[in-house]
Amino acid sequence: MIPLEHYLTLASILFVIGLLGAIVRKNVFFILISIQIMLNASILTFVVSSKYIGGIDGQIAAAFIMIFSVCQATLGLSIISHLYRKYKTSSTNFFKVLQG
Amino acid sequence: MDDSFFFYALAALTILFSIMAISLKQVSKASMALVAHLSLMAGIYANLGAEVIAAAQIFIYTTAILALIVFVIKPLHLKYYKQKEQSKLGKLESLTIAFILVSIATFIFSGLIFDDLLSKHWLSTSSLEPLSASSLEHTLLFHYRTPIYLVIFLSVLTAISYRLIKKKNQVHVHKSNGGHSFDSP
Repeated sequence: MIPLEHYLTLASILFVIGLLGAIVRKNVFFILISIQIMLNASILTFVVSSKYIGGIDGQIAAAFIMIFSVCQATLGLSIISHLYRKYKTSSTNFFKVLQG
Repeated sequence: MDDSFFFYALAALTILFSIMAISLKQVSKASMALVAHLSLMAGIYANLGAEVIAAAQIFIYTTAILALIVFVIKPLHLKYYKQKEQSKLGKLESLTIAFILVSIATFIFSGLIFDDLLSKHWLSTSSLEPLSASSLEHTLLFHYRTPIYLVIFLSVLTAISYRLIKKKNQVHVHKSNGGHSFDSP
């Protein structure tokens, strides 16, 4: 049986990759992709914890996170595509004008 | 064949495609790498024995992302990827932050420096006692204080070093520009 630490290490590496993409990239599309990768890492953690601890609570939480992340991707892409059609850019430098 | 082989192969491919998803220039290719990443994650869930989550991952998550790519990203006819995209951070700062974060994650979860804690408590799979919420809370709050403090300390250190490097670069740019600031009016 594969140790739990290996699954958690994989999830943490994926989370770090997503976090790094969200920090480094300037394109809003890539920031959205990085957030999806981070959410997948959290889903993996829930599923693995559920499998090793017992019960299906973690899998239910993972299903909820999955649905919410799909909704988030849909809303994010719609907002970003609208901004891109209007301003012809997707750089976060430009979207600083939206700050208060 | 052993299940561990499939897990390690899927894990390596998952990490590879996630790196591709954040590092490619074109959004459509990066999105396809994300779809491959999601499919491989479904394989990991199936290998783990969570077939329902794997099916949901394929039918809901991957299909939704694929539909969004086809119906949202492709019709935009994006051209901005041809422009030179400058990173928020330099390569050196990015590599430093990545090294620090990966080191933290590896040290915490591989049990290299916290082996005694990991072997005694709920991460041990040989324990026959079921885990309750109170024992999990106790474990998280009291037995893992050291890695939590370490993560907080290193995060603060990384943030301070990033601010210092950014300030130094701004001063350097200001001097090289003959005293004129690059800030937009």
